[in-house]
This record gives sequence, C-alpha cells and structure tokens, in this order.
Amino acid sequence: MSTAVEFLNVARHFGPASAPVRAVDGVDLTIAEGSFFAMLGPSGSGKTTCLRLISGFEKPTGGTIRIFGEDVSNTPPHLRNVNTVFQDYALFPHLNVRDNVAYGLMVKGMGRAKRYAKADEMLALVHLDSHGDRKPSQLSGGQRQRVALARALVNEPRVLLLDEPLGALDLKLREAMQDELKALQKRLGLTFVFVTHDQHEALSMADSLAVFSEGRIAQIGSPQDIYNRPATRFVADFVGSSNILPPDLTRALGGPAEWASLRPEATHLAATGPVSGTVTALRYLGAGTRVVIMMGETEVAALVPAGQPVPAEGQTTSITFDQKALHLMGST
Amino acid sequence: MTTMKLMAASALALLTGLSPVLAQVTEIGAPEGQVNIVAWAGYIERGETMKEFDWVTKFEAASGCKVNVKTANTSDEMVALMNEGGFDLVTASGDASLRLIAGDRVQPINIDLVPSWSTVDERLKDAPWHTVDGVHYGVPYMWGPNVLMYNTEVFPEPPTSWSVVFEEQNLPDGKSNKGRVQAYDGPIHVADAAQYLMFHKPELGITSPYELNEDQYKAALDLLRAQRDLTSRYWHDAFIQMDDFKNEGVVASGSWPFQVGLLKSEGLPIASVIPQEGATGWADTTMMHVDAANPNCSYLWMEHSLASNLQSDLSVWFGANPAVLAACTDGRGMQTAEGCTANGLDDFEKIRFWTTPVSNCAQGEGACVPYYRWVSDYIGVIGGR
Amino acid sequence: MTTSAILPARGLADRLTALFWRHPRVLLALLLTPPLLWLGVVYLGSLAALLLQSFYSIDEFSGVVKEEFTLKTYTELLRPSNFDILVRTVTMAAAVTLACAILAFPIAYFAARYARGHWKAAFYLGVMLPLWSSYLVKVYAWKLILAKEGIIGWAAAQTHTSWIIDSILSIPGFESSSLSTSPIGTFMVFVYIWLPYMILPMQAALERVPNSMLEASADLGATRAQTFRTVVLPLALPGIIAGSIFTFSLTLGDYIIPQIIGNSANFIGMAVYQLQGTAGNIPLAAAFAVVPILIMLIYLALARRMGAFDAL
Repeated sequence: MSTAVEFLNVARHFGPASAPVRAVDGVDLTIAEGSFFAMLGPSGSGKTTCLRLISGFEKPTGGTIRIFGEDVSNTPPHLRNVNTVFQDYALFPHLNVRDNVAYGLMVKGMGRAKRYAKADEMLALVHLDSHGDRKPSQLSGGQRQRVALARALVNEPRVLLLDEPLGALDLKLREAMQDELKALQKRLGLTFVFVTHDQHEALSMADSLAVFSEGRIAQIGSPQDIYNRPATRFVADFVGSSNILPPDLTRALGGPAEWASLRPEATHLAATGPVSGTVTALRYLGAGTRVVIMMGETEVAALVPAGQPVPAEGQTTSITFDQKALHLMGST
Repeated sequence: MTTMKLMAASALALLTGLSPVLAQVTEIGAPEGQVNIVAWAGYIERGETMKEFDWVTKFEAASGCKVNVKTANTSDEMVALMNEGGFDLVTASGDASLRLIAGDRVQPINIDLVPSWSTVDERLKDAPWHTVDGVHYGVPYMWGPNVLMYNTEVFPEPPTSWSVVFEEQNLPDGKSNKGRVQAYDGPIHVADAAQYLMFHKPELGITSPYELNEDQYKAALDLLRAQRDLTSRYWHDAFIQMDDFKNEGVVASGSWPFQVGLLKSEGLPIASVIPQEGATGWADTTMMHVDAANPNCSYLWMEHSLASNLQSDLSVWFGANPAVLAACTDGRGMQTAEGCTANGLDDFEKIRFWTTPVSNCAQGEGACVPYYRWVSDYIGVIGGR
Repeated sequence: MTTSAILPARGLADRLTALFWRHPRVLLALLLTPPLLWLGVVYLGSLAALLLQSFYSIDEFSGVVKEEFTLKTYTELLRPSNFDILVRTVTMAAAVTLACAILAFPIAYFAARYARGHWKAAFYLGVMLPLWSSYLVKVYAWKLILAKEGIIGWAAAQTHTSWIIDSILSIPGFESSSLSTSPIGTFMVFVYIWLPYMILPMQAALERVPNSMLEASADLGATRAQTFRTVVLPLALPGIIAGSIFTFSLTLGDYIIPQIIGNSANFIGMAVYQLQGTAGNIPLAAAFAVVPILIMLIYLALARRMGAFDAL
C-alpha cells in the first residue's frame, strides 16, 4: 500500500519571524492510501491547519508536503486532487443542491447533461436523490452534510478531507453519520483524513490517528495504541477518561516511581490497600457506576459493574488492580 | 401642494382681470414692534455680511420696529411666500409684482403717508409694474440693467453689439467666440434674443421683447439655438459665473452690475457696457401684503427705504441704481454720480424691464406665446434641440 | 402570622408593562402607529397628489392648470425636447452606476476580505470622509479641479498631455471648451459623489460571503476567475443591486450637479425644478417626476427577476 499524504518536518508559523505563532511545528506524518486517518486534538492544537496544508489553503513555512509522492508545496488548491468537506459545509446558497454537487464538474467544463447525471448519481449515494432541486437553505443539517459530502466525492478525489464534519449535528444523527461515513469510505476505498476534537469519534472511526498538541504530534498510532498506551500524560488525559497517577502514588500502589495511566474499568474497589481515600462522587452509567475516590491530591475513578455493591459518598475505600493494567509514561 | 394650488389660483386671477381697488391705510398709528419682509438676498443688510453695509439697526432703534427678513431666491418663491401669508412686505420684481396685484396679495399704498415719495425718480413713480389704473401698489426700491460683461484684455474697446454672444465671430484677439461666451440660464433670456432681433430684424415687427407672437418667438428661438453652439455653459448663479470668467476662459456674457463690480474689485480686467440694442433689466418694488399684520411698521419701513443714505449704500452694495436720484449726488451714503452712471442710471430708456409674458398681450387676446412655453422651449434649446 | 404579599405592589408603569406582556400587539401598534402615519399620510399622500397632478394638463392658451383627467401631459413628455431630457438622464444614471460598480468593487473587495484593524478603519474613514463634507463644497471643488484653467488642465499642460483632454473633449456629443463644461465632467463628478453609496452596501455584501465559500470553490477546482464569476458575484449581487439603486436613483433625481458642472443641458431634476418653480407647469413637472419612480420600479422588477434578492 502506497502513501497518500506525507509531511516531512512541516511547519506553519504565523506572525513576525521574531515572535512567531507556531500553529504547526516540525510535523512528520504519513497517511496510508485507503486508510481512514483522524487528526485529534483540542482547538488550537494545529490539526485543522494540517488539514488546510493538505488542501492548499495554507502554505507551509517549512518542510515538505507530498501527496502521492508529488511535492505540492507550490500547487494551488484548485490543482490538487483532494477535496474537502467543510465544517460549516460551505454550500453555495444561490445554487440548488444539484448545481452545488455538479459545481466541481462545471468548473472543469463538463457539459450540463453529463454533470447532472453524475451529480444525481452521487446524490443517490448519499440518499438525497429527490432533493436535487432544493436550495441548501431548505435542507436539514444532516442533509446539508450529505450534500457537502456528495459535492466533494463527485470529483473523485484521491484524498477526501473532512473538517469536523459532524460537529454541528445532534448526537443521534452524528452516530448514524459516523457509521455511514465509515461504510462509504470502505466501499469507495478512498483515503479519508478527518479532523475532530471528539476522541470517541476519532477512536471509533479511524484506522489510525494522530493526537495534536500545541502544533506538534503528541502520538500517532492505531486507536488501540493511543487508548491503551498513551505516550504522554497529555494524550492519556485527552484521549480517555483514564486515571493519571503521579509517580509517588504509582509507587505507593506497588508500581515504579513513574507517571502511569490506569483505566477506570481496570480499577476495582477494595476494603483495604496500601492507599485509601474518600469517595467524593458517584455517577450512575447504566452498565455500571463510576466511583471517584480522592487519594491524597489525586482523583482516581473506578468503574463498578452493575450488580456489585457501591460505596456511599464520604465512605473510605481503597483500590486494587492488575499491575499489567498499569501503563507507565516515564518519571517526568 | 398648497403652494402649487395657490400659484395656479394666482395665475388664474391674473388672467381673469385685475381686482378692484382696496381700501387704503389713512394714517399711521403706533408701531406694532416688528415688520416681516420677504426680500432678495442682499437687499436688506444689517451689517452682518459687511460691517459698513447696515441700514436696519438704526431704523429698529428709531422706530421700535424689529425687522425680520425671509430671503427668497426666485420671483415664484416670493409669490408663493406672499400667498402663504404671514408677511408684511415683499421686494417684488416686475415679473412678480403684477401677479401679486392681480392675485389680491398686496394692497394699494397711500403715498401721502410716505413723505419721501416726492424724492422718487420721476421715471419710476408711475411705472407699470406697480401702478395699475393710476393706483400705486408699492414704492420703488431699486433697479438695474442686464449688462454685457466683458474681459478688457480681449476687448480693448467695449463691444458695441450683443452679437458677440449671439453670433459666431472672431473676437478682437483673433480667436473665435465659440466656447468663450455665456448666456443666462433662465427662460427670460428669450427676451434678450427678442430685443436683439428687434434691432437687427425690424421686419419681424417686435414691439416688446416680452410680447412675442408665434413667428417672432420662433425667430428668437432660432437665434438662441445658434447661441447654444457658442456657449459651453449657461449661468444662473452669480458666483458660478464669476468663477467661469476667472477659470473657464469666458470673456463675454450678459450679466448683472453686481458681478461686474465684484470682479473689478478683485482687480480683474472686467468691464461692462449696454450695447446699441439696449438691454433688459429688472426693477423692484416694496409691496405690502393685503393682510399685513403690522401696517404701521410697514409704512415706517417704506418711508425709511426711500431715505437717500439707504438708497445710496444699497446701490453701492448691489451695484444697481437707486430709486431716489438724490442718493447718487447728495453724499449721504457711499454712492457717487460716477458710480450711478457706471451702474447704468442714464440708460433707463434703453432698458426693457422684466415682466411675465402672457398670452393676452398688446397684439391681441391669445396672440402671444405665454411664459410656460418659454420655459419648456428654452429647456429644449439648452438641451440642443 | 401575617401573610406578606409575594408580588410587590404595582404602580402604573408596572401595570402598563403587564398589559404589554399580556397583549404584545398593543405595544407593537403603539410603536408603529406614528411612523406608519407619517409614511402613509405624508409620504404616500404627497406621492398620490403628485400622480394626480400629472394627469391634469395645462391649458396651452392661458397657461392655467385644468383639473380634468387627461394623458395629454404624458404625451408632452414624449416631445423631442422633453424626451431628450429623459434619455439624457437615464443614460447618465446608467453610465454613472456602471462606473461606480466597476470602481467600487475592488475597493469594497479589499475592505471586505483583506483589510483588518487599522486598514479597515482607514477604509471607513476614506469612504465616509467625503460624505461628511458638504455636498455643495465638493461639487464646487470639482468645478475648480475640472475648469479650463483648473488643476487637471494645469497638470496636463505641465506634463504635455493636454492632447488627451483635448481629444476627449472633441468626441462627438461631448464637445466643449473644458471638462467642467462637458457632460464628461458631469459624469465624473456624479461618479465621485455617489461612489460611497455603492462601496458601502457592496462591502457589506462581500463581507457576508464566508471565506469558506471561496475556499470551497477553489477546493472544487475553480480558478480565481471562475470563483469570482460563479460564487463571489452572485453572492455579492444583492449588495451591488442595493448600491446601484442608490447611485441610479440619486443620479436620476439630482439637479444640482448638472447645474454647476456640465453644459447646462437639462436633467429630469432640473426640468422639474424649472417647470414647477418658474413656469407654473405643475402637471408636466409631476409627469417628469413620475418617470424616475417608474424607471426604478422597472429596475427593481428586473433585478428581482435576475435573482438579486434570492439571497436575502
């Protein structure tokens, strides 16, 4: 499998050279062809800038970007064989749905009959066959999202970029669209690059993902890697609801003196143990109850499966876990 | 709307005949404390434009009548304001005065209550623009000719004929007059053309430039069409015309003594002349509203308006001729005999004063072309038709 | 134990507020009545009176207005000398609008898409500043600029480019002795005076076009020219139409500029002024005044058909 997108030490700085804002700094990245790649990170972490560097709306101030092996540093957006689904969809309000979808074909000079046929085909793919004559303002959020998708896909891009495409949808619709997007990607065999700040979305959809922090990639890997073996405290904190244990607590609990992450589902309550704490919060989750225990300065959460006894708030308790569940992240 | 209706009404009154003589004021009572006057700009000065030109403040102190002035820019505006009412006096020109009389907007004046009447220029006392059937409807205020203003560098000798602005020719400097002359941007200018024809084409039989039958009128329009080719721009604003003489290379145009005086005072090579064909002109009369709320102050002002020192200063200020001849010579104001001569005092007979053309004229009922056609046709001429 | 009131004692203001709360339409009616009265009675009333006057006629013989319904005055409008005025005014308004649109677009585009911070402030200042000074002052200033012995003439003489002005002034139909007395001068001053009225709505419209719309177009393969034609222009159209309504109608109605700059040939506004002011021919003045209203209605209908208001 070849490489779809490659970043070599790419930087994008804004502002004066003396005091630059490093939106993207020293990023190395390879995205395999046909993969579903997610860029995850909080806002301002550089993930959207990376996406815009691929689409060509931003020019790198350092490094090299290759798309299918070709250096695109000097290629304007309209000459790149990539298409974007924008966060706000950016549908043209003065065109109807069919003309929106056919836009990319129109500017390339394709005849009306031919481009409309292709647009209708693409609308069928996103289940909007009967909406071609409507204006975008007459559609719901989810429908607009599909039009944006169809409009990008009709150009048969080799890489499809999606900038938080599901952010504006409500929860139910979002989950449905997640499945649909994933299925579509599988069916078309395209490379999808997907920007999101929602870790659940990233973990559930992506084949591999990069976690961004302050313009750099904190970790890159499969969802399992990222979730189970976060490389840094930032990743552990951002990706999962893992407990992050400081070195002294890790040692007190029987591990080495290192930062460690411990997933709540691997944490069990125990009447006695090396360290005890007070239950400060309980959250009923249906499949279990999340119990938060204050251990010194650190909050540690444990997931108690349904059916097992749950301590009351204010009660003192200790924890126990399999040492193998402890993921160490170094002493600093 | 009201104005429109009233104007129509007054035009109607003008045509249905003049009204009967109304009762006159027989004696002047106690001053009411104020007098409201509709006047041309610059006609009633209280030293606010230039300190030395003030003929109001002393009158106010002496008579106890506060003078309130409403300036009007056209004769029609004056008629409209008088129709609305609320004013005591108006300084009406000949093309407004008869309309006001016909419309019963002004009342006869008892000249016995105006002692200075005896000093008024004999040529103005019974002038037809304020005297109807021997009854006086106002006291004369000021008059002036529409002179031919010219650039003395181009004309070492004063031009003798209005032909310099009517017919294409080379001026004394050897260059054509095309694009270097102006004409007045008002339909009344048709009369200037008619007056020129009166002199040069006697076979047309024009007797008055304000009373033209269809043939005479057509000849005047043809002359004006030829003038259109010579004229880059027509003038209607005195200051724009002065600017055009300064910056646009205009060297000859019909004008008022007012502009001539101002340009001369700036040291520009400008002079004026009344050519052999004569000139049109304007003569204004102070008239009193039929329902004047302040008749006593009005009479006091009319008497004051004929004071030779006021007349003297006024004629200097406006570059026109006083209604009182003594103003030129008695030294009570700034005017001098030479100044009056320069303003055209001796040319009274050469001047045909503005009056509104109406269809019923000396040539017969409906024989003459009425003013409204002058307006629309002159618009056409300026538009190149 | 005494029960204290839960609700505070209510005064007149509170009772009024409560009334408005229960019947929101009462407040709306109270707020709308005065402006609607003004609009309805004063504005529409005078418009109706104007329309009515235009169906009267003036008696050719006596010059008196006859208050009888007739279309004679409108046929008079079509007399060559009057029709000239209509054609001249509409042509000028169209030319001024076109020139304003072409000049305003780059300025508005820069301001909407690129200007930030100080540049934006400078833009607003630059566009608005001319609006703060008196209209007459500006027109008289232009008279001096365009005069035969004015700034442009002087600059042309200094740079030996007077032949450019001379050749412009010898174009058939525009012949004159200087720019200030030529229709071209009138056109230039109109464009200058009304330009802000084109820039501001245009800039507002362009500012409402989201950047992502332009990016989407480029992303889909459109060149800049294609994006301009198929996205920017249609989306900015309401602003362009709004601006053109200003420039077009303002030029149609203006009677000051052509009096001061130009060859004294009449425009609709000047004709109305003269006809009603000095000639007493109210019906013809009213008929002239109706023309711009009709033209604007046609113009708006066309704009609507073109889809100028679809994006509103």
